[in-house]
Amino acid sequence: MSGESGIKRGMRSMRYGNRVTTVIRFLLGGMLVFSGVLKIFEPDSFAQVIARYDIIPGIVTPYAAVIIPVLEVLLGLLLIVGFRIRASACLSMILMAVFTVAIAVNLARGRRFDCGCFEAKRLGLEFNEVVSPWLVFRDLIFLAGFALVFSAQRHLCSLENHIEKIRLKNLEKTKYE
Amino acid sequence: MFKRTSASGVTIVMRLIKEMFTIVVAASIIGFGINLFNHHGFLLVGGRDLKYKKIVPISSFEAKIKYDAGIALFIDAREKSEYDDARITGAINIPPFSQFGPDAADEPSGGNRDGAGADTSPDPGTGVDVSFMSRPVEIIIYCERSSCGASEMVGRRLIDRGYVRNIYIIDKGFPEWKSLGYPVERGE
Repeated sequence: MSGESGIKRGMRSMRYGNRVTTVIRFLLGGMLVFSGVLKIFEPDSFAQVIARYDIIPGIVTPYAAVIIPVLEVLLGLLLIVGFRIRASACLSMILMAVFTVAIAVNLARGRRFDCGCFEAKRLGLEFNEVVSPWLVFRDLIFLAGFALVFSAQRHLCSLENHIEKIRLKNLEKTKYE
Repeated sequence: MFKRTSASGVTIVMRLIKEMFTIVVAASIIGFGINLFNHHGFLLVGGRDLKYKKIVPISSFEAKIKYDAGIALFIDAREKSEYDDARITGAINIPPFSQFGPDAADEPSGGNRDGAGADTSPDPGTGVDVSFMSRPVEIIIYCERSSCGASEMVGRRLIDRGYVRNIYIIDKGFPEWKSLGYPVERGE
């Protein structure tokens, strides 16, 4: 152990799950909730966003517009609370991959439009969200973050961790009583 | 990337897929639940009922605009006695369970009744003359109370008879029209 460099030890610790992965989990969970909540109650405008990408058939669009925002919020909440982390991280990865592909395909088609990722305009925030290579890069970073959360074994400040602790404590009790 | 120590890989993956599936199903249920009660949500309506979505509720004020423009045909969906008592000027009376005239009845559904139907003389003995369906007017139905079912019923029957354009219903009914001081006529 002593021979390892600091970076390598950091990587190992991150893969096992440390404070960094926990912070990433909270940040990404919050990001998902933030992006989902704004869309939930306006499925119509989100359907227009989906239709703009011109990837899935029009008849499916309303269903996707109804389900995806709720899925985002649900996954975000699960990640923040720390329950079923592995499954929700995996689903988030799939979601991110879909978004990334959708943006990349439209980028390849040479189209430029507002990606509608966060719909933050409704809050009065103005940040540039036009489809661009940077957006693909950003989604890939999110994807990597979810992958990190997915691969971690231990999650601090999570319900799963708490339950496991209680279980182990009671295991000892029953064993030695 | 990560080591699997205890349970076999297949079991873990199966459990993962199961959990993911559960999350997606839960999201769908919540999503459609919210959509059901969301004012801005999508309207999930069967194809059979889609045609009845042409019945549009409007206010008396909007109805008055159509009245002033002279494009409205008012249908009184109340009973004959109420109609005789007081009605919107120029309204015709079609109680919800009245018989419709033969003009539309013996024609198959669909709309090749322009012209021909309009010229046939009404026969009061056999039912309500529905030749107005081919006239260039906007049909506005009203009844006695706010959102009473009679207007809707008459509207649906007209649609079943092959009326293809929008049908308007005065949302708050005849009392609102009257209380706003809009033109009302007395019966014979």
